[in-house]
Amino acid sequence: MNLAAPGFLAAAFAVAAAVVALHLLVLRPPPASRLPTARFVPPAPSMVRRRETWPQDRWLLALRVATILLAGLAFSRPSLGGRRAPSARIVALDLSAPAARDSARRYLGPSDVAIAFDTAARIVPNDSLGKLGRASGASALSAALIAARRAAAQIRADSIELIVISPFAASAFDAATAAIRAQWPAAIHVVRVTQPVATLPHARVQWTPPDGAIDTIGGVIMDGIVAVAPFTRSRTYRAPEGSVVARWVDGAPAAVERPVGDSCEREIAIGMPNTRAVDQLRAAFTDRPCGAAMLSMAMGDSAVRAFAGTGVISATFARNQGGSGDRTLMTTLLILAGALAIAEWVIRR
Amino acid sequence: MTDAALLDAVRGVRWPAKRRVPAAAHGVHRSRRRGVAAEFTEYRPYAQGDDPRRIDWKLLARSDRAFVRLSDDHALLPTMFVVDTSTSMAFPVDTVAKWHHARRIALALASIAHAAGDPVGLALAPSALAFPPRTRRTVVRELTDALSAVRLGGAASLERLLSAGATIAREARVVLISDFLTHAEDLAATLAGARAVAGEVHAIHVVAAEELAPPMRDVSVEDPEDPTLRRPLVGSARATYDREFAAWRNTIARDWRAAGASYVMTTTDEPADRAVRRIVASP
Repeated sequence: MNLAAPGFLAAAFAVAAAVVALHLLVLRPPPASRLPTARFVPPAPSMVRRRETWPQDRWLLALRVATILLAGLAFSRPSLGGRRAPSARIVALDLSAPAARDSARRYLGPSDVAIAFDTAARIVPNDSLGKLGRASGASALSAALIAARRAAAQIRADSIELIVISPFAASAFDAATAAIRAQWPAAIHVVRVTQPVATLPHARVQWTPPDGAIDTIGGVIMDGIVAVAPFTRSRTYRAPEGSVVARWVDGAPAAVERPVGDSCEREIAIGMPNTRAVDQLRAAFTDRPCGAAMLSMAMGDSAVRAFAGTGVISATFARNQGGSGDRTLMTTLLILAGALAIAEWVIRR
Repeated sequence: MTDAALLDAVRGVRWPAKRRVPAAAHGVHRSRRRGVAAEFTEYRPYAQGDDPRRIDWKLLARSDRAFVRLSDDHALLPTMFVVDTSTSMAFPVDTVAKWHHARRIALALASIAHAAGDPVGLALAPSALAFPPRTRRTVVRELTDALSAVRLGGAASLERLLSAGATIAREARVVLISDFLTHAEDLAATLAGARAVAGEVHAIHVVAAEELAPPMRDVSVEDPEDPTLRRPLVGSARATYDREFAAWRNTIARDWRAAGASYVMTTTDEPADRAVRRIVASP
């Protein structure tokens, strides 16, 4: 028997224990004894509270305890289904990273659930990971978390571990990711895989350091991502013809890409500060293939750690089993408890 | 201590009357009548009407004045024992120590009185009279048999018994042995009756040790003479009981003494011979 809310049964046991304790305290007259000088004892109610070593009114006690336990069992939402597995895993693999599939095979067990996600997420059979197509390039962790939360409600296990296998590109996070992440009541086991290597021609990068009047500006927008650092720019910079791949926060072009034969030339007019914080941005400008639509800049380790969270890695969920059989069982238990309560009232009278 | 041992223990004890007894047969108690007994007391000048045979002629010859010899006479004092046989005396239930104590005191006092030649009688409350005061040699045994045959029960009317005892033996010594646990009106009437008794009244109050120190466990106590009176002896009620019982005993003692009686309280854990010695020595 499985209990969706075992706290009610525990509370019922506590109440039953209190009832047993009360049955050890009885209000009854003390044993009678003859005393010729009884007239000098002050008049008082002849009932005194005494503590017995064995419960009194055992039939009443049995009925009361049974009533309480049955009601507690009914409210704990029992089900007579098979026994749940002690633990299970949900493995969410990012389709934008081919390496994620190999990693997923290592973590998946026969009773585990696999979720494939890019910008959308779906549950896939464990043995069909090889047949999954490659994503267009973008992925959304929010979609994976929502799918995992829904899958967890269907898994019959006492605890569930969530494993997310992804390159954790910055673009996989959106504004809702943090809030959806908070819905998962445990730490997440994150497995970071390498980003896919682009097959587009490599760009010739030309750094144009700012000269003349230097302006300090805090942010660069690239593929919708805002990078904040003490960047510098030339106030007199005029961007050449071409596709703007990065802009300053005020909208002015910061980097331009123009085709040169089969390749391209990328001019970057950003004064990069000499800090490690912009290393990834610098690498993105340098390594990005020509014409790549998305910035594949990876998230920082601290952000990934925040996403993974701390504490126990196994989540437990109070499920609403909700089947007709469970409702029948609950109703039966409640009717039994009611019948016992009536019997207790009759006996007490 | 057996009855025989008790009688041995009190042998030789004297129980003199508290005041001169009326003229009666010759006995050990000082009589109100002054006669010609051998025990000389004093001279009194001869007055007309005196018996000339009581004139001390030798004194007349020496002093030329006529004196009459006076001497104290001694008389018997009938002693009537009135013993309470009500239900309250059958306590504790298992040993009936209260009754046995009362019975042994009566037996020992009767033995002392009989040894002095006094007539001894017995009246049992609430039973009928056992026998009037008599001096026959077997009276102590008769008293023992009568007390041994008693079936305790009922409620005592001490006033009736006291007046009956006093009526049977006028100007006698009435010894009332009881726990005095009768109702207040009866007790007041008994005290009033004691004031009217011409002779001596000895009130011997028998208290069970278990009444002074009831069991410490919580119990619901019941008056054996009034089953409707049932009260819990628990917690603070115990202190109240001790206080009320002590106050009542003090009141009883004061009232008996105020009525001119000799009052002695004895408990069941006191040896009977010691209690008897206290009784005969009490003022």
